[in-house]
Amino acid sequence: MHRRTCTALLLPLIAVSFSFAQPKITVDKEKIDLGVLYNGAVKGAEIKLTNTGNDTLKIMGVQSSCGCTTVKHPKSALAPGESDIIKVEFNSTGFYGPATKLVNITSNDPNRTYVTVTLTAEVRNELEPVTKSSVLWIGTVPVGKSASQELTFKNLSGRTLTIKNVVSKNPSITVKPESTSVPPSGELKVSITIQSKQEGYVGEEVFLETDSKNQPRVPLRVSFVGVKPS
Amino acid sequence: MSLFQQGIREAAWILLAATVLGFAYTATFKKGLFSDESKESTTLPRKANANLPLIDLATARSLFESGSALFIDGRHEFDYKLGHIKGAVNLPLKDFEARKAFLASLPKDKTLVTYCDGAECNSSIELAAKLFAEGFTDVRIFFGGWNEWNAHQLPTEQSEP
Repeated sequence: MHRRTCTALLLPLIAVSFSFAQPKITVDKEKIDLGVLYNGAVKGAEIKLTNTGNDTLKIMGVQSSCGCTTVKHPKSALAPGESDIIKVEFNSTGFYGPATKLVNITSNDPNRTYVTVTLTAEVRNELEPVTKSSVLWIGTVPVGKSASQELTFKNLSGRTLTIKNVVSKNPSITVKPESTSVPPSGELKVSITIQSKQEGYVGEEVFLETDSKNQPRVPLRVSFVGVKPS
Repeated sequence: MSLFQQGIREAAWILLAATVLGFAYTATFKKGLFSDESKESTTLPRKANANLPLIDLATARSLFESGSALFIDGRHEFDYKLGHIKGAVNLPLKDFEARKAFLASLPKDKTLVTYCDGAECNSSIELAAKLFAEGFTDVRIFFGGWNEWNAHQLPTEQSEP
């Protein structure tokens, strides 16, 4: 009789505890401040995920917004109590001032199907395009033709900057600064010429290499579309 | 003067006049020797950009209010769901091939406006280039993108991620 009473009491308890078995997603931080970055710098961050529930946590996906790349995804399933790391990288190219980017983690946690981690940074320039954009859109250019645009940069560093080199991986894009020395608050005109060699989209990053410790590489994204000659 | 000499002289005048008229015509209409295409380098992009122009906020707003354009959001799905230009469709670059059936349903002369986050991103341009390659004839790039549109509190909508 006594044993029967215990069983009768325990069975519902066991059933209830099973029905409450569920995964729970926990991140070690929901806001990550990357601090001051100079345009072109790439900085990484780590997000520690833990399953603080009592059932297997399934990670359905990790999405990051423009400018962020997930360089290490977590395991697809975490046992209760298990942890893993997500590594993300923020590429500051083209950003100006405060930047906020989001990393979204979706899981089978029934109470929190997605967790958003916010990354913030303050992006600065020592050599800044006056257009406040590092994207240079040339347009459509007939194959066999060339096209040029000029971009003006301003020296915000407070000291003279020296242009040491220009880096362009694509031989059809040439970049010519008008000078190799830019005084404080002075301007530098840079001529960008592209040769359209084939049909289709071309997008490349080119760099001005400077003697600045903060911003040794000033990035510029050049893009155009090669089209059939009319 | 013999009839033969008179004929030669008239022929010379006609030849001279034709040459002058020919040069005047080619110079006026930029053909032949005066063609831009014959030059080694051309200062672009005004003419070339006519195909895929960058548009500012005022133009984007005007197109939005007229209802004549379809806005295409090139950002990731998650960003799109958090907020986008009202009525815009989401077409991240990585999904371009998978969404060709949708693109095929649009008239090729439909005004399309691509955008992404803003001046720091390139995907609005790359998306416009892909749409142009698909044969769309009126593709414009709203370079200020979501950041500028949202900062001016213009119509937006969102859906839960």
